[in-house]
Amino acid sequence: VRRTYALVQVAVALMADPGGRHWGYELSKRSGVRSGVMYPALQRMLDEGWLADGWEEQPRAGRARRPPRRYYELTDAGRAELGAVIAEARRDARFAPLVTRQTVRGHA
Amino acid sequence: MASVIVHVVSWPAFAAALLVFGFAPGAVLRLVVLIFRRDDPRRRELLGELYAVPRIERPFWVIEQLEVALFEGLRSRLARRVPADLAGAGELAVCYDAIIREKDDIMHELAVFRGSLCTLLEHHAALWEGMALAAEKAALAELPGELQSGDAGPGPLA
Repeated sequence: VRRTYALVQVAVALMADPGGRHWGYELSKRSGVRSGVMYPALQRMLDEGWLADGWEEQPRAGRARRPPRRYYELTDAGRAELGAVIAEARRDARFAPLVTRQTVRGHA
Repeated sequence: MASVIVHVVSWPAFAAALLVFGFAPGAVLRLVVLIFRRDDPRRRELLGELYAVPRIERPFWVIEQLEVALFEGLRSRLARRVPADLAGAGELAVCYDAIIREKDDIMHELAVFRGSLCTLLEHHAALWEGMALAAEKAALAELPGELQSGDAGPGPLA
């Protein structure tokens, strides 16, 4: 997977909650990446086995009267790889401000 | 900015777009997701996500999904169709494959199919030199160390 600006942004957003479920719209908001860029990035991570996906439980969606949503979870490999991506980005002058800023926001 | 809108947009069209995207984003999205293949989970995913988007943002979000559908959905449809077409024409063999790195680490993959090669080379003579150089390097890399100073042999296009 290519180390692009968008990948680092999505990686930071995912690693802000490494054990949690991530939903498309919230992830897009947290990472600041447009969905036109984020969804292909998520697909690449799925293909690499960094992410696992699933669907919201039907009763919960039924109560809200809407179709079930798809969620993404980091796998062990994903946590390791994205951790490495972020560590690498911190050393790279182009990404360093982004990583520092978003990490602080993510932990706030 | 306002003057640009006045000059570019016809007001009836603008009103219609506002009406459709503003009051029926769900219906528009249902049409948009048809661009994805039937077995693509993105179809269901986008429909599910719509209701997580605040109402005020939905029209803009739906327009964004049109971009996603056009790039991702159409590409996956074409990716399935194009190799079959090429295979039928006996053009499937890739004779040149390269990763091109540009400024800011934007990368493109270039794959040239044998059937389209002649047309391409007619218009891009510099590419021919690049391919010859790449073929020479590849041939050198395959040779044992002591033979590498010798003739590199014919390239993959010879």
